[in-house]
Amino acid sequence: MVFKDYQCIGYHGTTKLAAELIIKSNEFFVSDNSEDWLGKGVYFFEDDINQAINFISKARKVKDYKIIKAKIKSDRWIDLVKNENYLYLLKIADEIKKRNIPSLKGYKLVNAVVIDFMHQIEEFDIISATFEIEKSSRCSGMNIMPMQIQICVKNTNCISDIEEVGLVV
Amino acid sequence: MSDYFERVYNKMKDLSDNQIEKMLIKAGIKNFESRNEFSIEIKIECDQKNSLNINYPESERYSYYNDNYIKDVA
Repeated sequence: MVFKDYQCIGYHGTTKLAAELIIKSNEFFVSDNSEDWLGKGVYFFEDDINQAINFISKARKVKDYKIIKAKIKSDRWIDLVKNENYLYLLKIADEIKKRNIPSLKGYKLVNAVVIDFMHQIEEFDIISATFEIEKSSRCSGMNIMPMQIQICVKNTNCISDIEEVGLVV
Repeated sequence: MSDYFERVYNKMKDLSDNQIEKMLIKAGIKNFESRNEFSIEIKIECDQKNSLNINYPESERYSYYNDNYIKDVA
């Protein structure tokens, strides 16, 4: 069973201006950046506001930012934390690499491209995965890795209850 | 194989290399080739045999998932 029927609260860090537009229009802008790790979509951190704050303030270096939270729900959700699903993704990637595709010569196939390739063949609503964070903060002998769960929403109809989170600075 | 991936895999088998290439381009592979190059200074330390620690600002680490962009290591 690939799809899970699931809902959670997602946190999204963005500029103050973009946040105001999102709240006013009650919809998110789909990211179309091929560097996004899970492909095109609207990105959230699952149930962790601090990840969203760190992303927008440290990774993106935005000083005047806002955090928006929303309910995310779907029954067509691919969870790559499940090893079975991750292995399927690798199998699709391997099949792509076997093909004679000139544009792939010298190109490192990244997960975002494989995921959006799959989505073109058959759509799904949401895909999520864990990514390691703060590599330098691990201590010798400690094997617990700081992780974050990133959610990429392809179908924005799965997003509801959008609201700004008041931040205490 | 599960339903979703089985369907994707089977449909993929029916696609020609040319069709797959077009879909991959739509999925973003050309964007990587055409984007602007940039560089920042990073500190590289070798603290033990065959081990490199590459330290870059935490704020920049999201950009470094592709080690093809790390060059001129000496």
